[in-house]
Amino acid sequence: MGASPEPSSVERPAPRFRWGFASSAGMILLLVVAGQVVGNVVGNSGFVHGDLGWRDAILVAFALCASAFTWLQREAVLRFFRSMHTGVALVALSLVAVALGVLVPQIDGFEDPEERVPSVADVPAVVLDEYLASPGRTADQMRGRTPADHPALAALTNEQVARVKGYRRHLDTFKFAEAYFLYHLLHPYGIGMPEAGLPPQVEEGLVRFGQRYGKEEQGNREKQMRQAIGGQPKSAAITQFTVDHHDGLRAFFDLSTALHWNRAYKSNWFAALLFLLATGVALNTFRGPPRAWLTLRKAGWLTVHVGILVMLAGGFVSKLKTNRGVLQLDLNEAPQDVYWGYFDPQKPTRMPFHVKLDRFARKDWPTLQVGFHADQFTSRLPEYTLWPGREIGIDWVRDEATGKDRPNLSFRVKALAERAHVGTPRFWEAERRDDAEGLGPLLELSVAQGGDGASTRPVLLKPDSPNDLYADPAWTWRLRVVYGEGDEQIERQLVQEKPGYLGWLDIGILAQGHVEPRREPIALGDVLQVGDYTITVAEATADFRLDEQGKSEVRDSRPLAEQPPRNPGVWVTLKKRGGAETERRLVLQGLDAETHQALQGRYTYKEVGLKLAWDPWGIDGPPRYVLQFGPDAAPRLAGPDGKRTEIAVGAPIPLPGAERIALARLFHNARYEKTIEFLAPHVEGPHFDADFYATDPVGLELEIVQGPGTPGERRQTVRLASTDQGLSNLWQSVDGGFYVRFFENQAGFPFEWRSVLSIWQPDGQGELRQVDVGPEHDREIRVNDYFFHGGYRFFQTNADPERPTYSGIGVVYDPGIPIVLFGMYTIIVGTILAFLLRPIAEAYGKRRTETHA
Amino acid sequence: MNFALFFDWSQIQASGRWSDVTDLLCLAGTLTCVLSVVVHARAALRGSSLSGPARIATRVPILALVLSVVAMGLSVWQRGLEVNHFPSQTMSEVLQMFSLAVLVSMLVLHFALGLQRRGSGWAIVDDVMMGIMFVGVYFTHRYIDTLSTAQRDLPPALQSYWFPPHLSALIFSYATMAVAAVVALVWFVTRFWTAVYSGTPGLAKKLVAFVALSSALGALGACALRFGLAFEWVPALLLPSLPAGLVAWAFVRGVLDGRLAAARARGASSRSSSA
Repeated sequence: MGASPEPSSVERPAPRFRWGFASSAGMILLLVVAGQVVGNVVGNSGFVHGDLGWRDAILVAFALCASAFTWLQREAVLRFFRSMHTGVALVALSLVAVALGVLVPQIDGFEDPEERVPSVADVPAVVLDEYLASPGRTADQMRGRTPADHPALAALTNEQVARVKGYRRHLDTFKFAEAYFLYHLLHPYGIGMPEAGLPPQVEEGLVRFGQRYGKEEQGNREKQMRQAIGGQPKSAAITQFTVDHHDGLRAFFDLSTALHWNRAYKSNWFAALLFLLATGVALNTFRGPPRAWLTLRKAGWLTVHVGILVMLAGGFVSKLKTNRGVLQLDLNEAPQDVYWGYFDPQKPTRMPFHVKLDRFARKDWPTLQVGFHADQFTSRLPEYTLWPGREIGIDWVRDEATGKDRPNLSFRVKALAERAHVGTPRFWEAERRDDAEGLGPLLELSVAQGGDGASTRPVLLKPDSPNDLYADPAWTWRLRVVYGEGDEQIERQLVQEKPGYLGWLDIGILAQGHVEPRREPIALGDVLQVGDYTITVAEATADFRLDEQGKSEVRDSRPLAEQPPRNPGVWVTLKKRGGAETERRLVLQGLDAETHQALQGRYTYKEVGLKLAWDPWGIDGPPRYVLQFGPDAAPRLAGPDGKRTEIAVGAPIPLPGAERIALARLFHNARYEKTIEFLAPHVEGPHFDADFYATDPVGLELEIVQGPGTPGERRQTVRLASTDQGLSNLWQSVDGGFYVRFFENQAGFPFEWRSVLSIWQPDGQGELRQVDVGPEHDREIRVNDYFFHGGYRFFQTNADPERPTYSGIGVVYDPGIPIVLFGMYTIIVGTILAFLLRPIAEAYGKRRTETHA
Repeated sequence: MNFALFFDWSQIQASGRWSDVTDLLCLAGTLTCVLSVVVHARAALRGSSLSGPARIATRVPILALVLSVVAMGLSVWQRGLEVNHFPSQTMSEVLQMFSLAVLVSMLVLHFALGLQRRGSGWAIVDDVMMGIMFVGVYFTHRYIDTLSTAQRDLPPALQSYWFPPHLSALIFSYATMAVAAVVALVWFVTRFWTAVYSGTPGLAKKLVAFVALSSALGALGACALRFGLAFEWVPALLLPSLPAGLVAWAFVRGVLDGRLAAARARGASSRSSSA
């Protein structure tokens, strides 16, 4: 037996290290940095790229050593994760990380794990500094080199130019976002922000507007104007902030890029932090023998923590496996199996099956507009979205009896129809020429259809209205109808405009209070000076078209005079006094950029609103003919050669070209009755309805009450359809004082987009065969209603008004989502167990114990 | 709010009318809260319990709160009918919903905490919280006056059955957090000035706490002053600091000191009577 050692000679064990908040947080940050490094190394390794090398062997050796070390030090690891200080530090740092991802603007496309801010380390600092300090140009938004690039970029290679421009795009977005945030932080509650005043003439116009459409409409219009006018100096102040603090913001951007703060949720350090959090939760949840894990007291707690672990596991699966993008489908195209990964056409991604677009429709909000002929409001009239039962009161007057305001006109929607059929309207001559219910003079042409001309279609022309012109589809002649007598009226119509004449341009500049646009006649080459802006009419086309992909323009090579006016547009250049940038803008008659806010916001001078009114009669073009008839004059045709030819009713009109036209009927004061039949009720709710995909116009049954509640009250019900066929979309009061227009509003977001998809697979012989995945209602998608197949999720993402057969389908492949959702549901169940059921059970047990006692 | 509207509100929609009624109730509620504070303070100073008209006067703010909830609920309901969807599409609609959520949260909290049952001193805290809620709702509506109230259609992404429950939960969570912030502020003011009055912390700590408290109150003051004066944020933070601190000090000085004095007096009288 050996002698036991002297107590004094026994080495006392070193005191255990105790983790505090600071030391725990420091260790976590150290591990997070290590996680970032390891993640980078693994991302560049052969395990990911499939080309193993000696570096990968070192990586495996490091992983084995790290695992062995962790195992040997497992007691210390357990003590670390089970310390209260570590738990608090982990939760706190996770919250800080999440907040960081919100406060630091994330780069565009950050959801793509490969998206990065391009490196500009190899670009000479002098060049880079000069370029970044210069004002932004439109050319900066283009990826490659362009002639309009900043001169400093000339010294760089094409590849460097692309990277430098990419860096600048990210930097500019970051600077503006941070400046916007800081500007508002320094101006809480709007204190110190520029106040917008309205010019007196605008305020007068608003008062008149309010008398017509109500004080609320007036107030809202005024607020919108003030916001628009006040937004300009605010935007200028924010832009100036980015200039004044360029260096500081750029330094912060570089720091955020280096530390991956601007792609926080996709960074390796964030994944490492969540991994540590999951480890901590797991080691603390499953502590002690298994029988101690699940007790009545701990049931809710355990369930919540298991839910957290499941959710984090789902997030990890998502990080490894997720992919998303947009599938570009067209009703006229074959099934597709490739989508744009992360919305980038440079990243085509293949699916294991094909998808075809079987149906697609965009339905816009049914809208009503009421105008008064006596008013000259050049700003947009109010637009009322309609639904069954909606009531609208306008034209406010002071009631003498009560001394209070009341509407002089009220409208009530009696019914809406998803599909309406417009029959041929019935026209007849009013008994009296001055019958107030008549439309005035009207003329009906009969146009032969088909090769043999066996059938005809009616064309109605109303003199002195926008609808007084008919042109041959091949653009070989133009015909205008006038009502009156004498040669002088005809000669006025045939006066030649100046060379290059195009029509009119409505110009409104918000920054200068020009909220009501002014109209200017324009010709090619004209230079207009409006306030601080110089607008030059550079080019024009009567038939603007895009290719099938909707990406690039298909130019009509014919001279302008030979182009049929199907989709007219002009290109103008805008330059601001003292401004460096020249903007080139396409203004299409058929597309109102101001109502499409996103489009207007993309312009360099977004405060300048432009609208085009093309003049198909006044422009250079094919021969012009005038068809004149009057109260006491027989109809006659005047040609460009000065010749006058009398035309009998029912006789053909001698016009050039192949189209055969006859004068069918004419009225000096036409009465008419529309025939509008409702085919299907208004689609309500998200269920599948084949009527949604019909191309018929929408129908409206409207009750119009003039002088409601007065002795002279006049009530009538009218039917309208959202098409200009047979004037079905218009109704005019008998006295001609006001009119009602019904249309489907395409200005903003639609009421609904829907698509029906089908799945197709190769049959082994190279042919695609449709896979049976259920009836149409199972395959219909909306923005919030998905179609699932093969682990992929499809939903409606976008559409293009200019390409009615195109449908943009969102695609997500993310096997982590069901796991995350399961984890969330588990947490909800755990919360109910912990905070509802456990207290009830414990109170019940306590009462029983007391009763027995 | 333009009070002339009450003489002819034919051009105001039903939701706007009920919102204006809520404003009136909030103003009346604020006044009754002030009255209730006075009544409770006097009772606390005297160490007596409330009875008769005084008791009724302290119940009037609760009545105003209940009526405000009803009026605001009707306003939101009417707005839903006017725009034909759940009324949380525009900022003005969201803030109207927020007003309702704040009032409902305060109503629930009033009965859940039961501060009035704990004595007159605690009842003052309840009155102050209710008063702040009334003022907050009133000024939220003044901010709404600067926003467009035009009907806006729901974009396809929001046309979902989840939209109403999602928005309701979100806005009510903001409202309950706002109420919690007010509770914390009132509690902090009470505790801080109690400590200051009793002289527990050192001068440096008092100064730091005073600046922090004053800044927080100043931010609230800046919010309130936004509609009357437009000055820069720094003076906006500093100017209301002193009166805010003085009000809090006066509260502690008057009420708590009174309660303590009353308690001491009761203790002394009971000792003398037992002797």
